[in-house]
Amino acid sequence: MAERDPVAAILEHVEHPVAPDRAFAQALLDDLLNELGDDEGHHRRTVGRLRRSPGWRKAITIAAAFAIAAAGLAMLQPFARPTVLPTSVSELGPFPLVSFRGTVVAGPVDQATGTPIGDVTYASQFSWKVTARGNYLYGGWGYSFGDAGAVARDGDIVTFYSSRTNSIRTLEVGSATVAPTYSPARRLTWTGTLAFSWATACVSGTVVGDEFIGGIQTVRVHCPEVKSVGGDADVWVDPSDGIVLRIEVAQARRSSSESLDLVGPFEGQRWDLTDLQVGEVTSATYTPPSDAIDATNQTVLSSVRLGQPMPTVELPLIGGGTTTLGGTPGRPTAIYFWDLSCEGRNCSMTAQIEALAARDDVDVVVVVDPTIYKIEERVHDMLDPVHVSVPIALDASGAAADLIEGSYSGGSGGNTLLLFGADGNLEGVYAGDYTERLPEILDALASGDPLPQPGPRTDAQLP
Amino acid sequence: MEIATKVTEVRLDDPVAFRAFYAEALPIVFSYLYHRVGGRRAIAEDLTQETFMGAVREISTRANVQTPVPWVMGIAKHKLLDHYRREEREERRLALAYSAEATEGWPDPAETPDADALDALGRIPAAQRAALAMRYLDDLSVPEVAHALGRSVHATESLLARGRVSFRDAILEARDG
Repeated sequence: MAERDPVAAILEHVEHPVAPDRAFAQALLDDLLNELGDDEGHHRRTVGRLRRSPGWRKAITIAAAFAIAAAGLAMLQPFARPTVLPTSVSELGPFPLVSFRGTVVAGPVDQATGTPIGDVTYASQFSWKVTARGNYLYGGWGYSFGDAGAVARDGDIVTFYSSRTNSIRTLEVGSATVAPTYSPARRLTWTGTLAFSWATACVSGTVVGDEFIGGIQTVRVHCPEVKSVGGDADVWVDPSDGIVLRIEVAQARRSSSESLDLVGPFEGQRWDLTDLQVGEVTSATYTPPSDAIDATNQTVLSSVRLGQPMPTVELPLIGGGTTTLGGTPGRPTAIYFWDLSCEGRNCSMTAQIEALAARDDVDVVVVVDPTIYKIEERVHDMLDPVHVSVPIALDASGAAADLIEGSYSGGSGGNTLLLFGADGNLEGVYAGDYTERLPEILDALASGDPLPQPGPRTDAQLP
Repeated sequence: MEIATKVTEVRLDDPVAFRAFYAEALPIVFSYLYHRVGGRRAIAEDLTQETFMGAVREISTRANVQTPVPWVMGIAKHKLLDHYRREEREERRLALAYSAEATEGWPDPAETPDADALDALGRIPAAQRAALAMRYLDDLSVPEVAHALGRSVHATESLLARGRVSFRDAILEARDG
């Protein structure tokens, strides 16, 4: 047998896929689009790449001109579209304060009648205009105005229907809706379709491909276990802004929340978001049930705002007595809105409450939704094993929830933490899974330092 | 080299389609060039840039391109050959020591890391690297390599022989420090 050529043997496996540097790929694309006459690529040109080009001196001069234009372009078009697609969930771009786009063409249905309920048109300044069709009033609690918590901006006036009071109400949206979140999973919420919180998102998803939807190159993420809802679903995400353009549920399992039954309507369904519109718009309307009481003029709520004190709200405590939120100036205070509709320590983030309870330099009040099935039992189940004792307030009237623009698991994104400084004014709002940075955050609050800004998380940090 | 592609057409007037084409073709082109310049990333980037710039200029002269990834790979191969020739011109002032065909002293392929092999490929003279890359990475026959390099078959065989010696010595040099 002839001996094999040693060069062939050595080089046999040497060739394997090698990815180009992302910055290089983007810079080259900008150059190419420039050659093609597509202005969109201009403002992301990078000088680093051009330095290696023969005409780099001239190119840098051109790039400098483009850089000046870039600021303007960035304001008009905040979400530059990437070309090299992400390959992991953690790479899906920054979660935008504006959240979703388009029209839900096949929204959730009334679980009793099987028909869609209501048409929602919502828009806010600096956000996408959204037309959504569907019923977001599941479970009979609270209101989740589309994904108002992600769409609405500070100062917006939202008119909404409250299933809790069967009335049309008006809410001034405060800073809670612009709360930063640490969790990239927040970007994968079933935005605009189910109005679930980040906790229902595809937190363990993997990128399985890319597809075009309406001219947008999306990344398809397979979610083997969608939190709360459970089941197996795929979502198509625009990687430039994290907006979910399509959701397809292959299989749904029973919700972990015993008071809800969300399975039936979702299984086998697909939602598409289309009809993107951009512009400054200011209206928000909802078509409520015909028997809803018009309480627009009677109920105007004042939301909690950054730099301002917490409106006084008195709530009953589990175990007896009452507490007043926004009560005692002179000490930093943390008010934690605990989403217990999601079971399990990871989902309900009991660790955050443990971290809060361990502080003797910050007053802590935890607020829960008393309509959750066996709420007191759940609280004890969660906290007793870890020997945590904190005041647990029952928000029976929903007054506290109104202050953060939504139900505990809705607009504000699951567990929401409001932090008040010693002067009694709101210093910051956090939502999502920021557990690891909570000590750092509380240290800053206690010492009067500026609260830390959120940062990106990695796949390894995902629950 | 088989190239699977799902993009069937690139249109000058459709930046969205161009982006899709770019997203698919870039890693293929870059990876191809990367290995054929001995894993030298900066050179691979320059050649990738030249390739796509050449592609865009060509696109501008026609309405669309069928099977664009194989098409741009053809451009990449031309750019690579140009690069080899440029490098060869640079090396001409250096005296190339002729060595007899290397039949002995080869390292065990199983104990030769891919990174070492790639690095060795990058350190041998350009013309030899071109010949070895075409012969062993692209699986071209000697006459095909000769045609691509514009040399006679006999001269190409000689070039391959020298390349094999250089390649072996480069690997051993790296292994022995």
